[in-house]
Amino acid sequence: MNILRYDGSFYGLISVLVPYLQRGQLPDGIERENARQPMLFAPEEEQTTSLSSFSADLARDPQAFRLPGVGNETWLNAWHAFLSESPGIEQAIARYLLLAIEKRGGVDSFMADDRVRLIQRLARRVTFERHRFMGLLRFRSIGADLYYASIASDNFILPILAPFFVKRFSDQQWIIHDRRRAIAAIYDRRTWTIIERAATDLPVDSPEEDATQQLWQCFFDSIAVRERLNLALQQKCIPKKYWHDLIEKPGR
Amino acid sequence: MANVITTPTRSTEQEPERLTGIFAKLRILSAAARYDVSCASSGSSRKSAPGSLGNVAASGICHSWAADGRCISLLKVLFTNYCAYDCAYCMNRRSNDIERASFTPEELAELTISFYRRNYIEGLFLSSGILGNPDYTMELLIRSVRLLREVHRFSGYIHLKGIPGADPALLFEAGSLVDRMSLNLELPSQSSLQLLAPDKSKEQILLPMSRIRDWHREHHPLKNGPSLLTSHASVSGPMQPCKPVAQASAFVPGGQSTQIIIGASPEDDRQILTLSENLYKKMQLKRVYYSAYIQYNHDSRLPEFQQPPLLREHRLYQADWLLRFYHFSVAELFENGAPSLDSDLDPKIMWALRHPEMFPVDVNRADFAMLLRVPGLGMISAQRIVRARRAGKLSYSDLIKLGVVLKRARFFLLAPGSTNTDLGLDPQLLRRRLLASEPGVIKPIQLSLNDVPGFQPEIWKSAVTGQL
Repeated sequence: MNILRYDGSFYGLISVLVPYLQRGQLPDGIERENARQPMLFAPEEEQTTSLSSFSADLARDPQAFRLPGVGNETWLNAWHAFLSESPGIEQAIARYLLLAIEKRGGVDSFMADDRVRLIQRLARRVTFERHRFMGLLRFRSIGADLYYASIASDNFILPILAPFFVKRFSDQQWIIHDRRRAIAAIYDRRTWTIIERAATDLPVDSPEEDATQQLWQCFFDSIAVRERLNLALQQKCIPKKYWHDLIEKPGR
Repeated sequence: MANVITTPTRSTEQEPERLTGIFAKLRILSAAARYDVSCASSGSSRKSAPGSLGNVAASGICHSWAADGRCISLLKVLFTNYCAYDCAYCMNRRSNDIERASFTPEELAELTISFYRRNYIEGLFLSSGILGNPDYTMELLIRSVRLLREVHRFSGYIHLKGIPGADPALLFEAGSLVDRMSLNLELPSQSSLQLLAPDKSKEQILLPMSRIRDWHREHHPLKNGPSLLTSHASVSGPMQPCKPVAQASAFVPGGQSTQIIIGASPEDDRQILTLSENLYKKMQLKRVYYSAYIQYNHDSRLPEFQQPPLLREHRLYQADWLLRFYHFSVAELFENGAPSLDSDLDPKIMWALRHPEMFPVDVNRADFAMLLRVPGLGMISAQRIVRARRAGKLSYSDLIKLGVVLKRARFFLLAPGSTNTDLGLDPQLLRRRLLASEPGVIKPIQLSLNDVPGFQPEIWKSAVTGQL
């Protein structure tokens, strides 16, 4: 049995997969190095890569591994689906990429094929959540020109969400903290990076923060047209799981 | 030393007072702006320059949803709700006794920036009552916007209302600062406008609109067809820009929009949609918004409503989408039918039921334009079908796998594996079947024995117990 082990990053996964894909084979299993539940009855034929640094830029470059038939769209789909962190995603990506190589391009047109459908669905779920957070993420000022936002997203969207805020708030320093994964993206006006094991205690707001939050709540309340009250629609658009990190209080 | 202590104490005394002032202003002026339905932050694209704040995403981003379920994308406020006009439908009209307030350009710019930096909003939507005269009001709006763009170096989205009757030079200046401009038509005909908004006229609104369109065409010749002018040498006369624009793309990159109030005047759906169609075609508007009339003034010129006509507004939006994205024309939609939209079914089904000869449509052969006309198929489904069928013939079960919603489309689509009982139905029967699946129209009820005519409970009891 061929059980692959990788370091948990997308780049690491592809690195250990490529030799198999080039031979047109699938491994029998793929697991993370720090997986909580090791596979039973698996004689060890280990292939570990020493890549531990997170490399988002490399993950986006389809030419890095020169897989025939894997275009930009296929690559992005695989990466985005990987960020969903669904159980078994590694094997699903392997099957999808193998099909892409077999078809020599255009694999994303086979939308009725289960291997393609699964990856596309997961990728859509991830990019949809990213789009949601482009709007729902809330920064609070925690010092002179320093802003902090806390999220608890279903998917690991930080690597694709941070570049958006780098472009948007290029002149302020900020931290986006993923509480669920204890990971944070940090931007210092020049570069951004992702750090793991981010602390979970909330930083203290700066003095003007409270007044601004109240102003926002005031606007949020008075912009609603009373005659058209529709709390069900509001909750459909902002599901309750996101309410915790919002400044405004929906549902009233 | 004394200086160090006195300065902070003085500022803390002033701070709460200044804050309560801003609170009241924000409360009054956002409440006054809430009946403007436009919320879009899409259609424009601005890149962030080094050292400036923000950018504009072409797709538009919703940041929150208010208790009425409408999206909040922009800080939507009036500059002031003092107004010299007395329009019957408007809550801010001169003759209403309400709280009045007015921002200063500095306050407004600061508020916008502090919200924007926290990612509350995508930008600013600024409208205003008429303070004094249109020119003076327009100048105040321009000052606020200029402050944002030039002092705060703000590159986010700005939607500005044009003030009807303002000097064209001012309109032009405003247009070179903002992403989108809009002038609200408010009422769908000249006669209604005369009756309900005696201070405004149709020309006053349409003239600036056509001017903005012409300037826009000049600055985006590729995007908007041939330029009106053959050469730049012939620039003269009152319709021309007052000074050259720095960047080619700087003039209202997000185009224009307008708003029409639904239900305050007697025009039917066909008239309203014909107006919209003309605005899209001739004025090159990006959006027409429809706003169900909500009663807040009691006026003999206005109809009395218990509930705002929300369903009618919804149907008009659906029809509006058909005009803009699905290549329908108003004449087609209302062909051989009443001049109003069907309240039970959406406008695309309404059209399809009048044209049984066009259906069923073969999924594997029909062109994209025809797929778009199938009720229940949207832009994304049609695109997926066209793409997926290149890879192989599509069956009915493939459609389900593609994520096509077949609740309505199954009656109109022919694919290997589709059931005969769904296809070729006559319009009357089809209408009934569609209504049965529509939520809220016909609700299935669990039959009870008591509902059966001639049923006697005593007999039922004896039938169970066996005792006579």
